[in-house]
Formats: sequence, C-alpha cells, structure tokens
Amino acid sequence: MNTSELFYSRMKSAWTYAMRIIRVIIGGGGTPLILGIVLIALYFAYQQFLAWVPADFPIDFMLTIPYTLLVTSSRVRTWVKPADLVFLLPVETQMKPYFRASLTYSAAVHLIHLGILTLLAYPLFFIMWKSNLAIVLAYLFFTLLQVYNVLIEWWEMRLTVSLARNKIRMVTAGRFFLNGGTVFFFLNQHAAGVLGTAVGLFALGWYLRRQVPVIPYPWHLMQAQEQNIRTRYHALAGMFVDLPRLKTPVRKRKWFTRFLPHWSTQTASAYLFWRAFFRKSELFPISIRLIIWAMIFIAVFPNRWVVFAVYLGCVWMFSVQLPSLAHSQQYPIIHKLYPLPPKQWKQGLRSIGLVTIGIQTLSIALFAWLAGAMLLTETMLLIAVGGILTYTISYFYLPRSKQQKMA
Amino acid sequence: MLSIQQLYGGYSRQFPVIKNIDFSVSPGEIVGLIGLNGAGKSTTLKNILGLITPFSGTVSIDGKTLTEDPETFRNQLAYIPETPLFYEELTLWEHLELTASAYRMPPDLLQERAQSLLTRFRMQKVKNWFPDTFSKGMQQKIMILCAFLVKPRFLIIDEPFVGLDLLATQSLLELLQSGKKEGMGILMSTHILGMAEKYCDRFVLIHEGQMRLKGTLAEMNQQAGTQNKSLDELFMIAIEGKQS
Repeated sequence: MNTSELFYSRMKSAWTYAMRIIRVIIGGGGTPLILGIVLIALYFAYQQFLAWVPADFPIDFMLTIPYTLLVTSSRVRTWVKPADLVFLLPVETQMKPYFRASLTYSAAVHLIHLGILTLLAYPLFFIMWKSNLAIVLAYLFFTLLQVYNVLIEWWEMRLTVSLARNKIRMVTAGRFFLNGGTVFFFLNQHAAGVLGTAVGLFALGWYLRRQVPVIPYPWHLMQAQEQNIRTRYHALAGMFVDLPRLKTPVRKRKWFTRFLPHWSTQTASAYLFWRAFFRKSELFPISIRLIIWAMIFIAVFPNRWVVFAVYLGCVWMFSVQLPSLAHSQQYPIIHKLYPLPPKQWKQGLRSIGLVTIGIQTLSIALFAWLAGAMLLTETMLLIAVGGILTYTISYFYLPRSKQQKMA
Repeated sequence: MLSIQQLYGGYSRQFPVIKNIDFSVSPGEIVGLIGLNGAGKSTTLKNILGLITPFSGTVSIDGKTLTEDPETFRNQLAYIPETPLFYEELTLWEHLELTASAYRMPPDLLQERAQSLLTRFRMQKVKNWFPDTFSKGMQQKIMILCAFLVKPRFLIIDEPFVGLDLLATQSLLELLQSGKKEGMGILMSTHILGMAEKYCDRFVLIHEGQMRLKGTLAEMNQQAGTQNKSLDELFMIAIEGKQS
C-alpha cells in the first residue's frame, strides 16, 4: 500500500473543498467587499506607520515577536480521520511515507506563511538593514529555522504517546524561547548569540528525536488536531457563508464553571447556551481575540476615528456569528423534546448577547480612553453608543437572525 | 392515554417506512414494540415524539396533538433513545439540572430524585464528570437518569438495555415496574423478547413497517389463530407468515 498517495489524495480533496468555499465567499458580495475596504485601510495605516517610524524605534524587537510565534507554531497537517484508527492501524508500520508527505506539505505551507510575513515586513527590514541581499539571507535563515521547527513539532507530537502532555508543553515553551533568542540575535546580527541559541535548538531536537518510538503514532492527538483545524476553518468560513456545522471539540474550562449561570426553573436555554459558549463553541475564543486585536489596533493607531471603526467592526464581526450558538444542529436532538416555548430559546440567546457584546463594547471603549485615543467625554459617548448597540442587537437582531433555529 | 392512529411516516412520502400503525398506551401499563432491525420501530417512536412529522395519521395525548398544545404534549413525555444523545459540554449533574429546568421542576424535587437515581445507578462519584469520558453504558445511564428524573406520564424507550450492565438492567426494570405502579404509561421498543414477555402488558408487533399483531399474548394468539404460543413463537409466525 502506497500511503503517501493516500495523503496526497486527501490533501487534494481538502483543497478542492476549500476552493469551492472560497469561490462561494468571493461570489457572496457584501462581506468580501467590507474585507477589501478593511485591507485597504490597513495598507494606508501601515504606510503612515512607516512614514512615522523614528530612527530609534526597536524594529528588531517588533519583528522578533511575529517570527518567533510563526516558527514555533509549526503545526503538522496530517488529515488523519477517525476511521483511520480502524483501517490504517493495521498498516501502521507502513505509514512512514504518509507522514513524510505530511511533513513536506506542512513545511511548504509554513514557508509560504513565512514568505508572506517577510514580504509584509520587507519595508521594516529595509529601514533596518538597507540591503536586499541581507533580507534574502534572513528569509533563507528563517526557512531553515522553520523547517527544523516542523520536525521538532512532529517529534513532540509523537512523544505524547509516552510523555505527559504538560512535559511536552514545557518542551514547546523551551523551544519558543530558543526560537525567540535565535530570531532576536539574528536580527541584531549577533553571531555568538545566534550560534548559542541555534546549538540549544539543535540539541533539543536531537534529544527529542532519540526519544521518539518507532510506533505507535499519536493517532488520537492527530485526530483531535485535525478536528480542531477543521472546526476553526469552518468557523472562519461560517462568517461569510452558511456551512454545515462540524462537531466541535469540548474545552472543559472547569475553572470557569463558578461564573456560569446557576440552575433555575426559568432559564433552561441560558443554562445550556452559556455552557456551550464557554466550553464548546468557537465564539468565546473569537470574542477574546477580537477584543485583543481591537486593543492592539487602538494602541498602534490611537485615533478616535480608528477607534470608532474598530469598535463597530468588532461588534459587527461578533454579532453575525453569535446566532450560530442557538442553531439546533449544535445540539443533540433531545433539546427538541423539552417542553419549552420558542421564545425561551430566544431569551437565552438574548442574555448571551447582552453580556458578551456589552463587555466587548465597554472594554474597547475604556481601553481607547486609557490609550489616550479618546477624551473622557468621547469615551462616555462611545459607551452610550455601545449600550444602544448591545440592546438593539440583543433584542432585535439576534432573535430574528436566520442562523438561530432552536425551536 | 397516548393514542397513535393510522400513522404513516418515514423519510420519503413515496416510500413510507411505517404504514397504518394504530395502537394506544394507557397510564399504568407497559407496551412492548417488537420487530426486526429496520422494521420501523424507531421511526414509529420518532413520529410519536414529533421528531419527524407523520405523513398522515395522528399522535395524541388525551386527545391533544403536539401541534395543538406543544408545551403540554412535551411536558407529558420523556424519551430514552437507543444511542445516548448527550451534550458534550455539560457534566452529568448539569444534564440533570438542565432537564429539571426544562421541565420546571422545583429545586427540592430535583435534589431528592437526582440523588436517589445517582445512588441507584452508582453514578454519584462521576456526577461532575463530562460524559465523553464515560463508557457507552454509563452514557446510556445519563438518558435513563434524565427520563426518570422527570417522571413523565408517558415514557418512550428505544432498546433500553443495550450497553447496560447486569445491575443497571435490573435497576431499570425496577424503575419501570415502579413507574408503572405509579401510573406511568411506557412504550418500550426491544429485541429482547424474553424480557418483553415478562414485563410488558401488551405488545405491538411490527414487520416491514406494518402492524402484524397487537394486544396481550392471548389476543395475539387469537389474531394468529394459535393457542398458548410464546412471544418468540408468535414473532416468528408474524414475520415468516407460518406457524411453527
């Protein structure tokens, strides 16, 4: 059995599916148009930033962060399916070509990401080094670092069959710091520093490689990772087109249970939705990411109009996704048997809207004030606008949205 | 009374899975729904529960259908599915709380019934666990606990003993018996004919989507033109169309 062919056929069908969705999104009109406008706005903002950058600006430090994150996060795409545990397990010893193909593919994709980042960062590199050759060399150096990180990531994954997950996490954390050091020293052209951290990274990889067993492969982990990736892509694409829901992995977040609404006879839907929001849906991490991105944007461009645009953008992006929480496909069919009137399900969604959009608008407005992007009176006005938006979306938009279909 | 009249249903109008199903379940009795794999038992149950809409015929409780009074209809029914259907994001205890909330049970009743059920099914220790860590039998217990927490007027059970260990099967049978004594009407689909014969008061025997025999053992013997045949024997007669 030629298992590498199996990998490439899976890769091909996944890309065919992705291209089909992308075509639907592009043909969709409204949302891509708004995205285009946002990208153009970002381009102009970047131009302004480049014009503003003072000579003593720590560009090396600024570039270290995205490069370190990118090379450390060297996820290996395997396209392992749940049924593989039954059908591929008997040929586990013949799976080497499959995973070799998977590593080649993953490294290629990461190098494309790296290329995009380097293209975006090119003006900053040029300010720093004023030499195209140096930038090309930097890309080649980061390419080596990236490929080696893909290998280490794969060895770390394989070690999960024999090592505890927290030990693997510690290894990843160590790798993050070694990568950070290597990137930083390279950008500073500090040869001894680069050599020291690169040797550390090599030693780590060598040690891990020696620990990796020939078999078994981490089937469950690969399966869970694939599930996560698919869910994330679907959630992203779901912002633009209506897609069938995927089984979402549950993150238990036990520490958060005390903050969830308690049981009462009147709040069955809110009880369920809040738990789904924190533990199962992608919406909780999305809401956090949106707030963080908004804050970064405001910190970089502390302008009242930027704040207002970011504020509205965040509310819009979150509000269009929130109704999916109340889609019946997210839940087992037993919810249909509960003696609950349709309005109860809508109330549950409304309560989530009021709290989450409320927190989002309030935190962004307060941050804008703290960052000095707005005066106190303007901030108060923005909070008031947020209150009106939260109320309007929760009471009028969410209950009528086509995506919520519980009853 | 739970009444099913001239029910036609399935997934395609051209090829209905069940045809002219007609029977009733009275409070305080257990009715066994018997048939081979693919006979239409689960489709019948889903039509009764309103999970799929019948092509024709009616399902009513005390003369009221689901569309006429959905809340009252739903309030009187609980369902134990063949395959455990649970919320992955809720713990066992949260399933019980959600069920109690949906059926508007008072808090003290929730505590009393839930504790008793958890003890009976030996699930106290795992009540704050998420069901994805449970075995299939334990997942099935969640369904049983939620259904008996409500103590509905009518309980619909689809192959209830699949995956249950011996003690849990015994506990479930005891609960069914005590539910029946308290006036609960139970419709139970099962393959285990020996158990059905022992615990059910009446039977509905379905084959290829149609009712072949229904009633007590004596009534079914009469319909089949036999005497003193066991449920196993009547089942074979019904599906093979011959007497053994």
